[in-house]
Amino acid sequence: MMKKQLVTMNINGENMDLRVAPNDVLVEVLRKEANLTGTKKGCGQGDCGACTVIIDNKAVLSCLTLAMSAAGREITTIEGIADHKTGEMNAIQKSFLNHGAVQCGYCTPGMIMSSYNLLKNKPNPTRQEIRRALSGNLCRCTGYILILEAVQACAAEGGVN
Amino acid sequence: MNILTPFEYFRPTTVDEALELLATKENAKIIAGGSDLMIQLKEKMIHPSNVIDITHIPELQEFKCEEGKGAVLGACVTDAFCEFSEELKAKFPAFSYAAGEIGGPQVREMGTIAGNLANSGPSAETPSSLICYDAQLVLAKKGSERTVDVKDFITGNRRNILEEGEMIKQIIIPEPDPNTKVKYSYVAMRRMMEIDIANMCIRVDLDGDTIKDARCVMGSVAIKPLISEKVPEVLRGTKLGDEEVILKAAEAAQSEVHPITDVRATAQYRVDVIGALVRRILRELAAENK
Ligand SMILES: Cc1cc2nc3c(=O)[nH]c(=O)nc-3n(C[C@H](O)[C@H](O)[C@H](O)COP(=O)(O)OP(=O)(O)OC[C@H]3O[C@@H](n4cnc5c(N)ncnc54)[C@H](O)[C@@H]3O)c2cc1C
Ligand code: FES
Ligand code: FES
Repeated sequence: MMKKQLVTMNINGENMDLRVAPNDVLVEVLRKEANLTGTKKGCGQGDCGACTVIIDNKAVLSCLTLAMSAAGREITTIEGIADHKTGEMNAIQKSFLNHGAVQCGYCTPGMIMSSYNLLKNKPNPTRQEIRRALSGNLCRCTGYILILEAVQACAAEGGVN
Repeated sequence: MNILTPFEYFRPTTVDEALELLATKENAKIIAGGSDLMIQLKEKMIHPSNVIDITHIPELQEFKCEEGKGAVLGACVTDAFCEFSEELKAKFPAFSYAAGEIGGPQVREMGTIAGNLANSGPSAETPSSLICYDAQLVLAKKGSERTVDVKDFITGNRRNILEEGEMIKQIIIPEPDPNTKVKYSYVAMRRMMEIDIANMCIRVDLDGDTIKDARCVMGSVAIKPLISEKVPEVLRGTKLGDEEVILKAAEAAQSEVHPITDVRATAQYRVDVIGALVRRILRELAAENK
């Protein structure tokens, strides 16, 4: 075992001191050390997108990121996009619910993070741009159409905050 | 499988610091985006004692693409950056397109072009277009630097000329001649998140619609990018878009490849795909030159 050391990680706007070993993968640290279990691990190999988080404004895969490498950067997880004070859901989360874009829900945090990041950087994407932005997120339940509609509707209704 | 074999982690903030670590730490591996390396660590294909993270070095993020001066990419310039850069799209469309066809969006945000080259996988997306654009690499190790052509960099399946302690520092793509046209295409099982069955990049140097010279580089059909000898011979001196020539060029390329059968395609199918790619690319180049 490699010795764990205390590392300050900036997660959802908060500095957290977490026990991290050099060979720890970010998704495990988020779930087990930070107790943020919203981020899911599917394949662990970069193929499914379930583990998507946002680091410094980019949607990336926490299963292929060393936790140490993310220290000092701004990490946003699914827990971090609701209103910090009121706990009210983000517009994209509401839109997923309203459009029935969630079934088993396993892909949902990753889907929402990719969608959220797209709308933040490109408030009025075309359907093709949405499809492309979500092409690294697999869903085995919904057939994708309702997800695309949820993202499109969210953009049309004023986007993400 | 998801617990990595222990290693020490280093995070230099300058190139010199990184080169010093590479020179002194035993059994060290560079990590950039990690999109190839993390998989190899998880699969226990490699067991580095030291992992050197180069993504916190500002110098390696630098990107220059000035009028008339080609482009210079620091080693940590990402696939996604190259996909979206308006300057690269305008000057090096085939390369920008190839970068945008790697994996999915998250993989492209993480992955770097230097990592794609250094990983030297046979199906890698970007070497063929970089070779067509005459790209070069600046390789650095403690106390010395050398510049090599991308075409001489990859030597086999996951093999390249990087020496112990050496890293890719920059990718240099020279300014293209306005009469040079380059196009990249590939065939895969599906549109996104796939590994290519075969990919190809063709470059033609034109005088009007006459091909003065040409280059054809094929990926995923050999242990390293295959530079065709016969396709340029067929194309030189002909008119771009001549159907008879196109068919001959396709046959020439097919005669040069001896691919393998694997889970993605049979050898015969790969040969068929190579013919299709030559025809497709030459027809598209001709249509765009009208
Ligand atoms: C789901 C998925 C899909 C993918 N699809 C594709 C695809 O379609 N096409 C494709 O070509 N690739 C694909 N890849 C592979 C990968 O994303 C790319 O090759 C990427 O560009 C690699 O860059 P990186 O920065 O992540 O490399 P890393 O994983 O960080 O490094 C890769 C290798 O290069 C070395 N290295 C990195 N930077 C340097 C440097 N500056 N100097 C010397 N050595 C260095 C590392 O030590 C390591 O051996 C895919 C990966 C995943 C996970
Ligand atoms: S768990 Fe990270 S991509 Fe599947
Ligand atoms: S809702 Fe079940 S995988 Fe997407």
